[in-house]
Amino acid sequence: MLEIKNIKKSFGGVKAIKGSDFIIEKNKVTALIGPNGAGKTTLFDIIAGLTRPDEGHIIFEEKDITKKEPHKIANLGISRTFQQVRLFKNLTILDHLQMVEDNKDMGLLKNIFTNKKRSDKKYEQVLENFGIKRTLDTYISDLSYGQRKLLQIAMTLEKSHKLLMLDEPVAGVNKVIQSDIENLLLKLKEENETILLIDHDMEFVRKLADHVIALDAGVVICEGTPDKVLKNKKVLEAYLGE
Amino acid sequence: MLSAFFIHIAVIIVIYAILAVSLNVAVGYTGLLNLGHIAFFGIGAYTSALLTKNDVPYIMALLASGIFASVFGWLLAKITSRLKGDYLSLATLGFGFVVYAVMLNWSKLTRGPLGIAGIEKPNIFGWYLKGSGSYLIFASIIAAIIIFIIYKIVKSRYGRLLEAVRDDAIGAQALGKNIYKLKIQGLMISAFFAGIAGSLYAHYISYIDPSTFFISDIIVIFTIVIVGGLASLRGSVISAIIILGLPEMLRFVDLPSSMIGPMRQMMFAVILILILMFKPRGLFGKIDLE
Ligand SMILES: Nc1ncnc2c1ncn2[C@@H]1O[C@H](COP(=O)(O)OP(=O)(O)OP(=O)(O)O)[C@@H](O)[C@H]1O
Ligand SMILES: [Mg+2]
Repeated sequence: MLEIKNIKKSFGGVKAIKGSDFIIEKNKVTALIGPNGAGKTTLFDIIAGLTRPDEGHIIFEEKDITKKEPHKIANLGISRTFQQVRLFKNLTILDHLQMVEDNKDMGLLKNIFTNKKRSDKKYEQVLENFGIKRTLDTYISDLSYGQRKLLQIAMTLEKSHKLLMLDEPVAGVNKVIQSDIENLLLKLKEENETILLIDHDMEFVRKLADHVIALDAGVVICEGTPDKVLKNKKVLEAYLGE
Repeated sequence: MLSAFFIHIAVIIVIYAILAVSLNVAVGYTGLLNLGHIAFFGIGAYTSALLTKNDVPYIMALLASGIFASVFGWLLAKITSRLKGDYLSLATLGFGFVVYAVMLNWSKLTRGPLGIAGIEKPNIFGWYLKGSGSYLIFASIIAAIIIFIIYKIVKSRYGRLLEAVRDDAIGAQALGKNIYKLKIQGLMISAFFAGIAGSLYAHYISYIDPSTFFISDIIVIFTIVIVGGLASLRGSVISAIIILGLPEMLRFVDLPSSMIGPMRQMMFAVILILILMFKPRGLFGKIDLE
């Protein structure tokens, strides 16, 4: 479904990605692992069109999307979360959930003259499903960190998508929310979602992933089944450091 | 005499309220710190003055001034589309200077520093706005329509997208929203209504020259927006009344006339400083910019 072909990227003098090649298969959970600074988030940004690679190509469903604008890539069905949560702090939960529903809000004239009725029920159901115990009119600045993280995941899933990319979805949340999110991911796996996941919890990766890709300096040092990759000597070394 | 003076102040307040509300669309709602807003005001004023001098009916000229200003809004947005933060502001400031320089130097069209005099009073399907009283009524009607339209825009789902661009443009892109288009449209909407305000001004004062649209006057409009609060339309309107109305009260204090000018400047500065110290979000503002 998604092909990463010989992607390279430097920031100034720092070679963040020295050459990445891998494939994400449809209906599979692929985990991207690697030590801090391995270039995982940078790869996400390159796939999403936010960062331009110096070399290489991204192929999504047989189409080259390397030079496409980020919103177009998102509209092709790549839905992602950010490691640093990105929400609109002066807007409400409702505003956020409405935004992911469709792109009808882009029409200026249509929106001034039609006053669509709020269908609160539907959105309240989303909040309940994701365990966000707040009202729709709550402003983002009033949410806890865990609630923001949950809302971001909820939005990423509610947005129509073919591929989910989740950048450390459980980092920084408490144990309760962590197990909620992990259970949710296990459920998504059962529903055959295509997922690319960045996570540092190897036990969880073992449980969830069909395929694991280990990166170091943006180079794939080992890939395969969780059992194979997590036992690999190079992977263990990269994690333990030189 | 006294009432004529009040009516004059009221007309100016109405025009500046439109300017402030329209600037708020760009700065407060879309997060584009446009320091060149006054250029749109000037473009609107010159468009309307020149068209009516060439026998274009007033209502057409009024609309044309909005449309022409928003074409420049589009241009400015295109030029600055990849700029952010300070660089964007600097570029918009430059735009303000360029427009001023063109007004000053393209003498064939604008008569340069001499300005354009004898701009006719509007005649709207037989309603001839000769006195300031009728002009106040007309300007207030236009202002009410503009504020209503802008209110409808910012409260709509579309308006929420402008705010999303302001709060986190990258986050909005990840949701599939074309932020370049939104920024361009935000600036065009803002420019359109500033252009209309320019036309209202030109036909009220009946004389314009480039100095009215010099970049330094952006400070007045920004003060109104900041004191009223970012992303608050009500704030901008009330603030226009306070900022432009209060200093005029000095006229009724027994002061030597040479003191009035400097005193007015001081009041201005004091109001701004007090607001920034005690109410940094302004009187009605709900949002913080980074
Ligand atoms: N915008 C940038 N400018 C300069 N350097 C950057 C930028 N983004 C990333 N880097 C550098 O690129 C390298 C890879 O960073 P990246 O965030 O992709 O790592 P990561 O694998 O996601 O790490 P973590 O597990 O800590 O999230 C790091 O050395 C980082 O400092
Ligand atoms: Mg990362």
